[in-house]
Amino acid sequence: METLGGLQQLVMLAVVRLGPEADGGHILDELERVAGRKVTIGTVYVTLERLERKGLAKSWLGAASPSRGGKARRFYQLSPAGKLALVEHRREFLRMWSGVEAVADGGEG
Amino acid sequence: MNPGGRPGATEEALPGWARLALFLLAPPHLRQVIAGDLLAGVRRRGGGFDARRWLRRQCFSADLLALRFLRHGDPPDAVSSKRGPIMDRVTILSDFRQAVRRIVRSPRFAMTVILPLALGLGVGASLFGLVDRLMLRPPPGVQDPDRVVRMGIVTEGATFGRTIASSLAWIDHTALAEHARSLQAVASYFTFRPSLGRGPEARSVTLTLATPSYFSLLGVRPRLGRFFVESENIRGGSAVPCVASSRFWRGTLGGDEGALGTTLLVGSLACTLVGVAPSGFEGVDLQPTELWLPIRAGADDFMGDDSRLWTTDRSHWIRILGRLQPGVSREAASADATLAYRSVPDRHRDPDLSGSMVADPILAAQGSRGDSRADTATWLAGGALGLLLLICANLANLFVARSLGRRRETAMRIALGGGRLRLFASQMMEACLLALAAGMLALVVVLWVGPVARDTLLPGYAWADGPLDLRVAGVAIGLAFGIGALVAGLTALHAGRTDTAVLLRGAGTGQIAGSRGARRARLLLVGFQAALSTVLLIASAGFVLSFRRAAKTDIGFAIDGLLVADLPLGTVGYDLARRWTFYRAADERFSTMAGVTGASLGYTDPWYSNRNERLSVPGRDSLPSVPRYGTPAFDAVTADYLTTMGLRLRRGRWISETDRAGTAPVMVVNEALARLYWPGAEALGRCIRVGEDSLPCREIIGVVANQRFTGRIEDEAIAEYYLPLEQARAFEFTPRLFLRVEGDPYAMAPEVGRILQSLEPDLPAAHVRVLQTQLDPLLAPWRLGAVAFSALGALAAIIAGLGLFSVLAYFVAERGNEFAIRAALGALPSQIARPVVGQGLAVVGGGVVVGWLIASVLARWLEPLLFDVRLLQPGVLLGVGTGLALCALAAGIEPARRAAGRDPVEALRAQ
Repeated sequence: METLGGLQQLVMLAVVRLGPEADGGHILDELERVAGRKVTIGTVYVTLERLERKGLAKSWLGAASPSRGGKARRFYQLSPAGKLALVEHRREFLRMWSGVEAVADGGEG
Repeated sequence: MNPGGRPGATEEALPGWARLALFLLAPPHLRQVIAGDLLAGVRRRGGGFDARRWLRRQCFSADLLALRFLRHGDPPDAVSSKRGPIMDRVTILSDFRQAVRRIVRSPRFAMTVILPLALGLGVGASLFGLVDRLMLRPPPGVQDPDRVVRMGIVTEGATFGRTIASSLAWIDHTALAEHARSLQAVASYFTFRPSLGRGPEARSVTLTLATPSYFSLLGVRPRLGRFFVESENIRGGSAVPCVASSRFWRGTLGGDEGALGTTLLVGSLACTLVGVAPSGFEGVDLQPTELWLPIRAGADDFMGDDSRLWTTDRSHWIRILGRLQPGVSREAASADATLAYRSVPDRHRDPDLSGSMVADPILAAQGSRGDSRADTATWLAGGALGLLLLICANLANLFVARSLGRRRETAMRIALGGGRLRLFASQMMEACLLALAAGMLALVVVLWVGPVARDTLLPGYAWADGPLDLRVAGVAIGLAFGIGALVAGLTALHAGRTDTAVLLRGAGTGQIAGSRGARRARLLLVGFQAALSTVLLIASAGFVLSFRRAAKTDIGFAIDGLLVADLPLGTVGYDLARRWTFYRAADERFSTMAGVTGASLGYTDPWYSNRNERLSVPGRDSLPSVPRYGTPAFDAVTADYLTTMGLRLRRGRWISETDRAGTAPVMVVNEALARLYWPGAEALGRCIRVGEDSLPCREIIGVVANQRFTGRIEDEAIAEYYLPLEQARAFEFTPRLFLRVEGDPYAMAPEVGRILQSLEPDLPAAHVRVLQTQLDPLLAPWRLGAVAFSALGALAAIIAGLGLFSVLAYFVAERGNEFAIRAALGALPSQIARPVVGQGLAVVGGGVVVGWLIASVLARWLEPLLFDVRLLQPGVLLGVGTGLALCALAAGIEPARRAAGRDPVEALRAQ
């Protein structure tokens, strides 16, 4: 069972949310828009590379488009192992959260 | 933001700075994709000011660079988590960032590290460059240089012991070529500078006469055309072939491939260019050759049409190279060559065949003959290494001081689980960065110091390349990294030993524990520096004294303002009679010229060429021989020679105008000759026969003080004699012109050349030298040693002084409260200051004593390089000791003043 860092999980979730539109630029925007995480494109790609290295994600080169100055896009998708790892982490997470709602409700105080 | 969706400039392409940033930072395989992402991102953000700010943040992020280090194919676990192994590339990157930040934050520390290191490395690398060229690097372009040998003749003499001659006779070449089976090939060559062209445009060119085997033996292939062949190696052939060096071909012939077939007027020969040597190959000696000619075709020009050149050993004029048969050692080849040498029975110079031959490495300086310049350069490189060691000690000192200053930070990091290895890595990174900076700066120093060192060590040599080449740069940068890593390693180990708990506990009190060991280490380093400074300063004193002695040596004549001039007249077809007429006319022309206070003719070219003739004294079977030189040196001069040169007449009279052909044959000898032939008796009035037995005996009419026209300045003066020029015509030589000028002789030399070349039409280039330049190389080793060791020694003493100052200052700052309390308890300022200064003096004193001991060990090897100077004389030892003690005193004054000046009230308040 792979351990996943926080940012790794967020990036994996962004990939799932974006579906066929999941490229580096959109993942970056999704992290900022949904999770409020301001990271740089470099960070996103470092994370994506690590996920690929672990076999949790895969990527392929798409077509070039004029809106990108004629540059190709690289699309990302979770591998079956990646989906499994994400689901497993969610399960762990929820199990740990169950019964401690008070902390979340009460905030820091 | 961007109303109406009007496409902004950024939508078409990223701005230049962003593209540059991506190019520099992003990995190639993702560069285009990221550029596309960013362009699309800018578009989604409307392309306005905010979008640009966003873009800037994206482009200049360290993670882009980190991405570059996450290459495909790396083992996954190398980057799997933040707490990865120590050598994680991202970690290295963060160490790098941290190191840069630390260096930028304390620029003064960086400077104190970089500047001395750069200076020491620069000086060291410059000297390495010289040693490399003189001793280590075979001549460029030579194939398999280990098998190429240089032949020499070894003779054992009673006075001078073993001497080795590298100029050999043609009969030696023949003997080796015929009999030495261990040599695959034998080649001979001779280099001189004849005139290229005629008239006002004429210039001298460095020409090597060589046997055709020369190029094949060295394994050189032509860049253009071909080399000359055996059938062209003849006297008076119709078409003389010549080969140019690439430098000559590019410079003089314009680098034109059509230049093959060009006719060049070299000396008296019109030669046809048949080939160009490969770039970089300029012969096997330090003086780069410009043209090659077959030796038989060109020898007449320099040596004269003299059949004895080829059949006897009277002229030792060629240098002989050999290529060893595969698997044959130099020793075996030497033995074989000695047999070949002894197979020639009729040897004028070695009648009893006691000499032997030796096969030396091709680099003259590596041979058994040795080379005092190379020896000095080696010692200097050693000195530079000493200085580098000292700088290392100083760096270690600085780093220890710094790590003491950062003890709390260090302790904190260790306590937080930073890991000692990580600490080590980050220190190493900082040291390597500083070392790299110092190495780069050292290259600049090389560019500055290198030419000075070259001019001093090898004056007048035309270097083919700059002082900075890949080997020198490699040595400088390599040494820098080595030193950086060593120092940082030692310091980090030291810091790693820090006891965290003790440190953190003591952190608030101002009294930091655990510093006594560190101070002892730092004092030890200062002592080590003092010892090295002592050694360098003693060596410097030895060379300074040697140079003073050498420069003050009585050379027997006044060299200031003397010029010597000659023209290769034989090469333009002047016979002996015409040459004599020319020089007579030149002598008269200059005798009446303003600014010339003396003009005369003579034969011997001081320290450059001389001549021996057979001598006999009626009634004596044999004459004692001059060590190293055989018979006394011949000279033939005009009456004005005595005053022009400033020779000193001891007894009798000098040659006069009336001593001419037909009058009684006379000669003047020097004191060395008088003592050699008639020890303890008067030489005046005796007679010596010069030359063949049929010639008359010459009466000695005068004795002059010894002059040193031959040999090394540190040797005994050589026996010499002078004949009246007009009585010496039978010896078939060409005189040369000696002038004494007022004012700057260097400024006069070209003018003298112009006048000489205009005396008659179509003359070759005149060769006018300031005589001092022929003496300088003899003094060069000592001058170089004196200058360089003094510079190294002074630098060493200053760095050691600064090191001591920093240790004492630190010590005072650390123990400030103690001093304050003692002052409050009534201690006098002098009582507080004395131990501070005393500690410095004690450390330096210890270092000086160690330095004396090291010097006394090294003296055995260094003293032979000195001019009759004892290295370990009390004056030198005490002088150096006193100098360093003064240094220590100076370094201690300011810290002592600070210690004594602590205000007790303020100190207590600070508590």
